[in-house]
Amino acid sequence: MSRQIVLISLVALLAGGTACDSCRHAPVGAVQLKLPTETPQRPQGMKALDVKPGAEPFSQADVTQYVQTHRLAKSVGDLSQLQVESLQFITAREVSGRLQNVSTGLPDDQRVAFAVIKGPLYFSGPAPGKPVAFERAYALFDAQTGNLLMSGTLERGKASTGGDNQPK
Amino acid sequence: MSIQIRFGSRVLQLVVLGFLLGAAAHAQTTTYSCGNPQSGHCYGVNSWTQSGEYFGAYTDIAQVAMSCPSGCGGFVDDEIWLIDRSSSNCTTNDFQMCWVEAGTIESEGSNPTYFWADARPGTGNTFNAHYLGGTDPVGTVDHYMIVKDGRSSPNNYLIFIYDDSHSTLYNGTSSVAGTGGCGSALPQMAGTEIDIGQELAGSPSAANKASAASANFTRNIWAVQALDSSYTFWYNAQTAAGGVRSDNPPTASWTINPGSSGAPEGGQFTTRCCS
Repeated sequence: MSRQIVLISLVALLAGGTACDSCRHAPVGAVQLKLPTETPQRPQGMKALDVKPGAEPFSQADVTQYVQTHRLAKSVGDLSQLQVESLQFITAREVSGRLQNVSTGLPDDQRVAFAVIKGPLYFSGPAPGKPVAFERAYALFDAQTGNLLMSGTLERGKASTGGDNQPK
Repeated sequence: MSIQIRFGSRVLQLVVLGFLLGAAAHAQTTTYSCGNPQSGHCYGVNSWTQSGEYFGAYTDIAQVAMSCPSGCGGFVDDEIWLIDRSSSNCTTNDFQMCWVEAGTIESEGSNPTYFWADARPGTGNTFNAHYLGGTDPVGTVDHYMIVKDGRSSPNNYLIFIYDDSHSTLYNGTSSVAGTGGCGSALPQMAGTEIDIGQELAGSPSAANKASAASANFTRNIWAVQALDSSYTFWYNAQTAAGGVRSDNPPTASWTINPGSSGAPEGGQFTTRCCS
């Protein structure tokens, strides 16, 4: 009997501990919203390049044609001026190394294509959002699907250094 | 006399007809100037600020029809931003501020896509945009969450975009920028501003302008602490409107003020573009 009481007490304590796990962290007056715990989808990107069979699924010329006709997110400027300086097929892990520890959301060994784009390109942020000039930017494509996965800035434009964010 | 009245009536009809035709033509030919390299983008946003830190931001946005055809010269989006305009590591980066943003974007010549992006402390690779995948059907209400992760040091930000059933579920991590292996990682931003609304870029001809149907932003809430082992977004709801900017386009306003009687949690903010 006493063993049963001890066992029930132990179960109750454990159950109570679990139930109050979130209560212990509850800030006064705040409401709780649980975060999703399911496995998220892998980034699919947006449709960009056609993939050809062979060692090189798409070429530097294909990427040039793409960036001269499709705008990278949050950028403005004359697309016809953009040039692709290089296109390398590397792993997602190498991308993180090149982009200062950026998280790609991809498996480390996933094969991607990293394109360096010479501008100038102009990017802007939240309001009032004046454009900032960058000499170089990048675009990252899925080597298997040709989809655009990421894009962003590399080198700041020389014309707009020195605290003045406005392109001349 | 009756001839004069009939003549006057005909003139009036012509004037009214001319006015209507003119208005229709104006509506077709008017466009917008929202960002070439010399000017900024246009915004329809609500902005909240506070002296203390917002540890996260969240909103629900209904998917709407969006278009930015070839020649629109930019993009249109609906999104949420968490912003730091004052930390020294942010005021010295390329944009003179840091932010994490998440939303739905329609870029020139593409289809509506879920995305998140950040501008981190540091220079060089400051801004990174991540394209996650095509959006849910029009009418679906999706959830956009940004939260500081207090379980890691230095703190990353976690980004979630998901629907009610979690059949759509993307996440991302805004990591702290390294220093190229020559020192410790830069300190993470501390958000003191939350913006919700629409951003519009481009200066197209009338035939190529972007469009976005009315989108409602509801359940506008913010995290009161960083994420801990309870894996919970502890929040307060916004109870008052912030500062509203409506560049017309985008057109933006509070359709139900937060905190008003019967209002949904955090009110209802509405954006649209570009008619």
